Amino acid sequence: MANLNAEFATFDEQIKLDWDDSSVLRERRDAILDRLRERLDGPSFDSCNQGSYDLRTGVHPLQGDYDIDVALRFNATTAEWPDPVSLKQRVAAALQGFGSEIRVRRSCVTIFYQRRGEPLYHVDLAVYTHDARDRLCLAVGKVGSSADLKSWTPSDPQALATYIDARYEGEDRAQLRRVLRYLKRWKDVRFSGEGDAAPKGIGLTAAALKWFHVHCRVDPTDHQSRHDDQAGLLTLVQKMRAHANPRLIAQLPVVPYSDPFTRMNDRQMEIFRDELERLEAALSAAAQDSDPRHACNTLRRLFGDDFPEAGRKSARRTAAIVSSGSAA
Amino acid sequence: MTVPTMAKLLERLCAAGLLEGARPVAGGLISQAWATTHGVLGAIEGTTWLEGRTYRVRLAIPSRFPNVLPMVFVLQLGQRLPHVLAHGYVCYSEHDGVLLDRHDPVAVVAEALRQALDLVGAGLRGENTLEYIEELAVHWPADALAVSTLTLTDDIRWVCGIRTDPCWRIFDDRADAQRSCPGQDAEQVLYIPLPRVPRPLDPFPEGAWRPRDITRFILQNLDDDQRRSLHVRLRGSKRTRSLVVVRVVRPRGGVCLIGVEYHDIQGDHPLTKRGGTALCSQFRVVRQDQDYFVARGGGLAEVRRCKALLVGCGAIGGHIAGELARAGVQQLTLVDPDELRPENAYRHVLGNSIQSRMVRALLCPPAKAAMLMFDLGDRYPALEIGHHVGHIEGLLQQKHINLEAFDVVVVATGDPNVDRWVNEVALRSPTAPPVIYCWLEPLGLGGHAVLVPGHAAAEPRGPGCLDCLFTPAPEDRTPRLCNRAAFAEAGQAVTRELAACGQAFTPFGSLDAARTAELAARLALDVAAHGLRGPVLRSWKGDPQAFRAAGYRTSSRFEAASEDLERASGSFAQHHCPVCAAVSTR
Repeated sequence: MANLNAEFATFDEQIKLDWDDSSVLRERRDAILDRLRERLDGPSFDSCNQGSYDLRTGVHPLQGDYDIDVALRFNATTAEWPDPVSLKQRVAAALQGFGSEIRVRRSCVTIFYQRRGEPLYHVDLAVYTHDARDRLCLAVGKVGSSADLKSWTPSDPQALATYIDARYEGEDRAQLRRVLRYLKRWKDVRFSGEGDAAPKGIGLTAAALKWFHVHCRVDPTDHQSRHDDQAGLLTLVQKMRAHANPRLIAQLPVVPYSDPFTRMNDRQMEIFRDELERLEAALSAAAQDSDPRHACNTLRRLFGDDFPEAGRKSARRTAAIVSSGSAA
Repeated sequence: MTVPTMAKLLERLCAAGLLEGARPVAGGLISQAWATTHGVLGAIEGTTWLEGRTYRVRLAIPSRFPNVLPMVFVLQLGQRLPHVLAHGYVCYSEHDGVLLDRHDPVAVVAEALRQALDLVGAGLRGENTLEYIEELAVHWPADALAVSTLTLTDDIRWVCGIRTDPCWRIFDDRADAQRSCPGQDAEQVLYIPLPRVPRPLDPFPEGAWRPRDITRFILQNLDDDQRRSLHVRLRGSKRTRSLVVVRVVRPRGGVCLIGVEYHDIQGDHPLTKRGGTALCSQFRVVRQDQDYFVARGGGLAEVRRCKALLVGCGAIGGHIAGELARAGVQQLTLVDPDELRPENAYRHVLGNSIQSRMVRALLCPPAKAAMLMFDLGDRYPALEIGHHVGHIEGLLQQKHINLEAFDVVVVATGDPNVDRWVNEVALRSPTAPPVIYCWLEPLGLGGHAVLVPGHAAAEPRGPGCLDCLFTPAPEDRTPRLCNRAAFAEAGQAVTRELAACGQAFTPFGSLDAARTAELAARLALDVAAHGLRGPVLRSWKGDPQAFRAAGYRTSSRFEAASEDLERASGSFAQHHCPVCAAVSTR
């Protein structure tokens, strides 16, 4: 029985995208917001992080294209801006000159940054106003989209974070975030060539919020509680795979209460389901494997090279000479 | 009890109707032997009806009453009855282990009278003749005395006796005799174990026994093989004197010894088939053998054959050694590389006494193991005790010590590195005895003892060893080197230095050591006597005040309830332990 929690911990250290460490992105975000406040021909706004930064479930991208999601909450109403795309265009116009490209996309305005032609990072600006019931609504639609593809969709950029904070505490919440990071890295590794066909991070988050259970055990000897990420991840993947029958349906527990997987077509879902089965099989095999080295290699095929090889666990030990505190 | 108080009590006893015609005994009688022998301060006398006739009875009050039992004398019985002694004194109850209603002394005397009359009544009806055997050693009529260190086996054999002043001393063999009484002449003594509770003579002799009664009592209670064996040993003997020690099995359990000296033997020995005649004198035999002492001290007969190895003779080890000896282990081997340092006198069982007196001259520097051996050897002569001055690693590697030769091993080095080494050696050995590891924590925080079960060759070994405590939990995301049983939070340096570098010590006291030693010794004895297996982790929790006041932090385990610790005492095995898991999957 290979217990790889120490390896998972090392893995998490490798992949975890820490907002505090992303000073460049933070500076870019602040510069963008400053420019908007200065030049935007439109209503005033306040901003907040959203997405994986807000949830603290971000992982380092494999190809270096970092992103940050920022919500712009305008002091305006959907009635004042019946065309959601027009407000997004005002935002894009105010930021002209920033980055290498600015694009009005379906759910956000994106500023791309490149170096020597390679994507470096991008900033997604999600535009919100208030509807008649004072609910926040996300501007959806591209330039040139027909009217039926443009809408103000009820959404709350911080609802998920609030939901998670209310449902999980302390180390339990930290375990949920770690498991989500493992899944996101798996997605990046296994769907690197799939582009838009890959499952979205928000979909994995919705699935985790539906099926994740905290795995924690109190050691009967030292009476310390320890979280078992390996078991937590395996159980979640088992449930996701079991519910992907044939499609995985995981509605968000907050507005807009939608299922992020609906945008995947059947073929994409089939691929996703197959990958889930592979992941489940690999996690189960690793857990049963008596050889930690072999177990790690099994998981490295799915999680990539940032998952450590066995034997590196010792690097996580504290000092090899410590005070014993015992006598006779 | 004062005289006026006694007078009032006697009046109340007379008025209570316990005896017919009861009246206080005259002062003159109180100064007679029957009263002075028992410390009687006052008494009443009257009559009572028992088994169809009237008896005169005295109820006597000793000066220490009601802290002690009152006495009952049944006068003019006219026959020997069990538990009725000189002057008609009825031994109706043991003096120890009774609780008296000190606020109702009359009721206490009434109950004493009832119990005494029940006993006498049973004797008159002939219902308790076996009680003669129960009390045989106490009432064996004798002027002489012998002290016996005999091992009470079941076979008739020649043993060894030395006449000393003022008594005989009886030993298993000549070597024992010479060890205890060097240079003194020894003579053969015949040891005869009666195989079962003997049938008392009827009528039971009163006063000194006649030679033929003694011979008849012995021979009628031997089985055929024993009689033949006795005949073979004694026929043709030309001796005119013969000393015999007889083992008597008591009806309520246990055994006692009685002694007979035959002299002026005419013809064959009286205990042979064609027994001649002889004169006899009886002598009492006081047992001082290890079995008796161990049982008297609350020891365990089951550990009588136990061979124990104690590694570490420090503050804990010193206490453990004593407890194992007192529990009655047969053989104890001590191992310790260190000298007894004066600065540890106040927490070591030896203190400074031996060092300052006799051993210093012989042993310089004084090794702990040797000094402890001398100390225990003096205190418990029957204990076979040995020692090695050295580190256990070297002693095992050089095969000066073989773990397999012991029934149980206790490791009390206080050094987890040495302990874990021993643990690995034991587990990787083809066979190994159960090993108990113990240590304590600083400033009275607590102590621990771990039992790792032994194994025979080819016997499957289950998980659970000392190293499991040092193996991180499987879910541990940041494994660290620490003892999971510890009460002190990991990573704190708790040693102190009073002098210079290299003089560091862990602060703890003798009581902490004794309490930890008790945990370990009990585990060792549970293993030896009751076959306890394990693995088992037992801990005691102390007062954390001093520990915390010194700025240290306690662990999560310390905060757990003692009941929870006890419940989890067998749950410390780690299935991925690098030591026992590797061995058990071989």
